[in-house]
Parts: sequence; structure tokens; C-alpha cells
Amino acid sequence: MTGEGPKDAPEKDEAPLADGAPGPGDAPELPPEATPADAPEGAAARRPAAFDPRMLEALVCPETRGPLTYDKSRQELISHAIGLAYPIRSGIPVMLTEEARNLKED
Amino acid sequence: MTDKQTHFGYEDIPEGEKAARVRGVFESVASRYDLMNDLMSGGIHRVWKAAMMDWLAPRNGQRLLDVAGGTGDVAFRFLGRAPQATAVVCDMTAEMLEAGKTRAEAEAMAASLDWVVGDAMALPFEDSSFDVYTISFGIRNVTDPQVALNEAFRVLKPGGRLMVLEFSQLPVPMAQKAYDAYSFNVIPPMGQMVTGDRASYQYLVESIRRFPDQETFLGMVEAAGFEQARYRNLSMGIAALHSGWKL
Repeated sequence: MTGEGPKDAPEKDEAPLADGAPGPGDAPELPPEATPADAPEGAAARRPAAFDPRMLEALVCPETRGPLTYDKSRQELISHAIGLAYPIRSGIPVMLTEEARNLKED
Repeated sequence: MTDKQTHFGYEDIPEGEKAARVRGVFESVASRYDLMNDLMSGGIHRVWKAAMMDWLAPRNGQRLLDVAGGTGDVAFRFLGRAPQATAVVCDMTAEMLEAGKTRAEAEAMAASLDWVVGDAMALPFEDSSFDVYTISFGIRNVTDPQVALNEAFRVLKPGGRLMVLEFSQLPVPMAQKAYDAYSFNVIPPMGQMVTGDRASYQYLVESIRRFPDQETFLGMVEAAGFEQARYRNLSMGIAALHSGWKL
């Protein structure tokens, strides 16, 4: 959706966006045509976003509501209290018990 | 072991199966979900979401949890109005979040936006950790909406605000009849054309019709502990906004 345009959010008179940042009136779907030949798929070949460990502060185990520890190499969030490891896929933590790895079975 | 039944559109299915069935619907339609919303509502859902933002009045410094946030629509609008706010988008379906994360707005707002796969009935967040909780066209897909409302209450800070946007019931029987005719005869074939998936859109229209009416849902908001609970009809009641405060 590109509804953040002028219709929804009336802008103040001046919008000093000098650095070429996409202004509210620009069409946000289209990235600048600056991708040279080394990225043939264009927008499809975006960088894989990493998990931001800052998020750990906000997340708890949905089962125990206890704290989680971040296993960077396996890309998992571990709830030691019940022995579950929640996967992080494409930088997005998957906080569903049915998707978690049971550490006690290993 | 629970034989408790719940709704999946017009089917009655065991409660344990609903989450997976709903996830199936959204995995199937994720990439064309926003387009389909536009077609189904003639673009009106944008007006409804704008009305939601008007009532919410986002402020800088607030922390938003948008549940069933799918492709990020509500979070983008919230941050668009309050650029110094932060938002977490939580959805059961990874495919929906991935679709949202690659949108241009998401890149521009990456520093103030997080994406989490989670269940509205068992949120992976601490008590009292958000200023605003929104759920937009999502709560009717939750197996037990009351449990989701209770969870909303738990994760909101004292003084925090709940806002639910959902399809609702038209108070005028004639209008409801016309609307039913539209939704049951037009939407599933349109879904077939746009996403190649008629069954998912059949589910959507059935689930809309089965969702509690405005007053019933207001009672559920109050039962979760919210105060000053109120609702506003949108487009004569095709959709409704419910608001409540954790005081």
C-alpha cells in the first residue's frame, strides 16, 4: 500500500528533504535505478536482513514469558526454562512453540 | 485432547486446527494481499485505516504493537504520522512479514520498525511494554478473540490504548442483505482471478459474517479489562473501530 501519500497525511507547507530521501509524495515502490549489472534481479536480490539483538530486550518466551538468549551462530533464541530454541529466519524471530526446536530431544 | 469446536468460515472445526488453517489462507495469498484488499473494498480500507489513525492520534515516543500486522500497513501509517515513534509488527505468517519487510516504506523506517512471527493468543512480549496495541482485520482470524484481547491488555502499559479495526455487521437488515450478496457472489471469484485462490477468499467472507456484532465485541473488550470502551461504525457498519484504555 502506498497510502502514506498526501491524501492521508496532510503535510506541513515545507518539507525540507534535501538529501534525496524519498519524500512523502514520491512513489515509494520504485527504488532508484542505481543497481548496476552485478545485481541482475534488481530489487529481488536485496540484502538478507540480520536479526537485531536490540530486539532481545523486548522479547520473551511466549510459553514461560521468561527471558531468551541469542545464539548467533545457529540463529536461534533459546528459552532455557523449557528447553526450546526459536528459529530466526531472514532476520525475523519465529516465536511459535510449534516452530521451535526441542533442546531436550538432542 | 480438546474436542472444543471453533469457526473456520462456515465450517466447524476443532480449535486446535484453526491456527494452521488460517495460516494456510495467508501463506496462499501473501504476495497479492494488499492488491486484493484494494479490489475487495474498492480502496475503502484505506479510508478506514486513515480513520483509525485519526482516532488513535499517534504521538512521537510511543511504542506500537501491531498484531496480525501482515504487510505492515498500519505500522507504516502510524510511523508516518509520528516519525519518532517505534513499532513492532507481529503476525502468525512469516510470508506476510517478509512481504512487508521488502516494501520501500519498511526500508525507510527500518530503524524504528521490528518484525516478529508470533501468536496473538500467546504474545512473545513482556507485560506492560507497549503504549498502543492495534489489530486491523486480524482478530476475526484468531481462534479465541477473547484470549487475544486479554493478551493485548497484558502487554499494554497502564495508560495504554487498544484499537481494533474489523469488519462488522450492518445495523440495517436490507443493507446487510445487499452487502452479503456482494460479498458472497463477488469476492470469491475476484480472489480466484487475482490470487488464483478462491477457497481462501470464500473463507474470508464467511469469517466476516460470523464475527460478533459491534455490541457483543464491545462486551469482549470490556471483559478483557479495558475501560472507556467505545466503538465507531465505518461505512455504515461494514467495518467498525473499537477502542479501549488500560487504566
